[in-house]
Amino acid sequence: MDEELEEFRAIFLDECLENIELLESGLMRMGEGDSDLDTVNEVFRAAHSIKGGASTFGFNPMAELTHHMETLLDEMRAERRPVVEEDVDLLLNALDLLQTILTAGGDDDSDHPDRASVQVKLEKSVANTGDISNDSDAAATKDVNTEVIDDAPTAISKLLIQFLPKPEFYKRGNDPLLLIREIARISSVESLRVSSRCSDWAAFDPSESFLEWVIQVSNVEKADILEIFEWVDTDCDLSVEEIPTEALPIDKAQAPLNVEVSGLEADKSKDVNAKDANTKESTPVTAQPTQNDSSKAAKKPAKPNQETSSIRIATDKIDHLINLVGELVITQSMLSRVSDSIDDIDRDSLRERVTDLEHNTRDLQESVMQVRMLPISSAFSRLPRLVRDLSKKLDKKVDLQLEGETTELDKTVLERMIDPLVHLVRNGLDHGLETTEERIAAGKSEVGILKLSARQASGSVVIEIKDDGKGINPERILTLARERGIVGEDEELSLEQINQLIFAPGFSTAEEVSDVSGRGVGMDVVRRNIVDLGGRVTVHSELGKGTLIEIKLPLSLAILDGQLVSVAGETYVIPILSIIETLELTKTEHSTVPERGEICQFRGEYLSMIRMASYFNHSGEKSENLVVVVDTHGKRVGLVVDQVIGQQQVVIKPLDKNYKNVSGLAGATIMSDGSVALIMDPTSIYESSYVAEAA
Amino acid sequence: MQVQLSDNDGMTDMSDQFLTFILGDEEYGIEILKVQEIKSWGPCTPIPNAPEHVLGVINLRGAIVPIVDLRCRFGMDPKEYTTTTAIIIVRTEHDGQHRIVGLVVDKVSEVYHLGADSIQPIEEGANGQDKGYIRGYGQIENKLVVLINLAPILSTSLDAGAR
Repeated sequence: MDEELEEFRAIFLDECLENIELLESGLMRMGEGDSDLDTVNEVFRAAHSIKGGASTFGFNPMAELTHHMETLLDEMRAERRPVVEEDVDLLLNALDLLQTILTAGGDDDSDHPDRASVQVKLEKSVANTGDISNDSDAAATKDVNTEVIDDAPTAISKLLIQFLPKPEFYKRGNDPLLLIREIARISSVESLRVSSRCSDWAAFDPSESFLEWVIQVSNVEKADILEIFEWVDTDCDLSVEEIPTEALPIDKAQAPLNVEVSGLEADKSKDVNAKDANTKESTPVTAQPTQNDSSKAAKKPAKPNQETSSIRIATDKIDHLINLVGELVITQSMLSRVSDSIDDIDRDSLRERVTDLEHNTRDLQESVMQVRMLPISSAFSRLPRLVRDLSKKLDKKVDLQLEGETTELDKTVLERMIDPLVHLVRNGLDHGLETTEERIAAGKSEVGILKLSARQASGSVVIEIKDDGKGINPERILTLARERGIVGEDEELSLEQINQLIFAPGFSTAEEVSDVSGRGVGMDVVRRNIVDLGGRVTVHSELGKGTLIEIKLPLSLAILDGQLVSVAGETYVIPILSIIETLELTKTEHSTVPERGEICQFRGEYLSMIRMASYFNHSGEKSENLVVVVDTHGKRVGLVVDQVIGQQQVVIKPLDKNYKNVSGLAGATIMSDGSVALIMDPTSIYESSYVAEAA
Repeated sequence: MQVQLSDNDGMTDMSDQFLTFILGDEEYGIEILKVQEIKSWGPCTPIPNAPEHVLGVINLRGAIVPIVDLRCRFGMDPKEYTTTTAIIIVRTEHDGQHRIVGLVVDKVSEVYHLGADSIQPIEEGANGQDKGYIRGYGQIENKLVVLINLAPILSTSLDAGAR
């Protein structure tokens, strides 16, 4: 039992994080002035779910805090108060606090000293508007139960419920009958009527939803009715209106009184009516609520669709699936090789089947890989908030532009990119963009532009962070790097190398260290994270015009675009993302330099060379024809191999599962003939070679 | 030659069964519960800078499995691989993790039942260089089988030269 509870708690905490994200994005939209009812409702619902879960699991501090947030939001939702920036800020503060408490474990022990003061602020804010709007329930707002506010005018005796489920309602396994029975249980049903919106039965689509219920009840509170629909209110169009006692909207002759709701019968009796009657007929009520409803419904699709149905799956299950499919692909390709070598009459038909199988396996692999892919929007979504807070703090005007948010990335890559992205945006804002005065002085628009874009490009994902700020001053960077001993006094660097210096450990150009960024610990971590993921980062900058940071990442960690090379008779894979160019050794100027080993010339730079056959201690016959120039943490190095064989996507398998990690190798992979090829890790090769020691 | 040893059929206790194999003139035995399968010898991919007795890795239905040459591990002279040369795939535990390793032997021999009474435990310090590799000697009819402990034999292969 306890274990079960633990499991539910874990699910709840997960859901909390999701809801917090929803809250944040909603609040951001509200803060930008997009405070339409749908957004406010969405935010309210998210807060409400957290509150509900928190109190169920005894996370009292969280429940209390969300309760106060909810109270304020409810006021906005009921349009009793305008959405003002101060309130949004207050709510965002509370949200941060909530997140802190949640990360601390959520339970009763993890409270936060600031909670009380934030709650008081929220309360004050709620009380304030009460006065302004001259609503008499200023006192009532202090009441703990928000729902009470909703039905402050309890004098109403009759309610009109209009309920039109959407197809999703049924898809999620809901039954309207259960809801209606529940209504009948808590209230007296005065009339009920079902109508169909389907006008043309020839075009009847069974997967659509046409039925609409109009129920008139009495002796019940509006809030209780709303509560019944609480969990389905996104899946139906619902309106619950109070009606004056005398004006009964439903034609009494048509509406059977006190229906014992027995689903199908009720449906049938009204379906007859519905046949000749159109949608119009189904709205005999005061037309207003229906119009409201449809206009709401029409607005909905414009919102980002957060209702895509999803299922929570443990990632190791998916990874297992991906592995199995990987095997299938290999077995399949071995099979097609075998089928090619068979000499028989049946060969052609066998081949045909094998080709079919090949298509199917490839499709299967692609769709299984898709399961791990997530849109980058989940990483981008936290940036608007960051930029908003920072721009206030730094007093800079910033227009944050996001592009390509639907670009998909592997979940792990995405998660590990969040911190680097946050840091780069911070850095761009702090160091890249100028202050308003500086911008005006430079003849630029006073609002700085920070643009993030993501796109897919041939097996990799490119993320760009671009600002139109002051750019990088190469001379200043070089001087500073020399002062700090990162670059030797007489060492000459290319512009690209200088730009890469911003990622060097212990390097920071901020004239004065701020608490935003500038301790020089972040940027080297950014590059390390990216390189560890098998990616690459480059910097382009123009003084006075801006900086562009380009990050290239592999689509997935499990699959790698590889260049096959041979070293002393063995086949190795080099990750294509790290390859810059391949040169012919005989046509390249190279020589041996004391203390630096062998070097060769590449685009005016001198590169250290590592002969892979001797690095790997392979004694086989070797030709050493080619130099593959690779990028490792901003350092370039030439790997001497015999030949390049071809390019191939390979599935990365860890070596340490049954053996151990080997220096210079990133793992192994299985080739289409079933043999094993090892994957080189240029960074580790460079770091463990004599070249790095000498440098 | 590919022998798949089925799991316990539920009738017999397999913990006293040993798979024996030949290396040179000696017959060695390992617990059958540690054996996953037996494969015929095939080429493997050498791993750079690995200890000499680690021949390389093979693809075992998608898993990358290291291959240890037991002759070399035991300091015997190398012998050419023939059609009887076999790879015994064993499961072992190392640092709390399950690992699969292939052992190259001259020839797979028999499966024997060996009760506790027919195993003569090795005397402590009888042979200083054994380092716990040998678990004891099994007496089968008129011959002696060397029963070996896999874990210490393999752990040095998996550890040596690790980063």
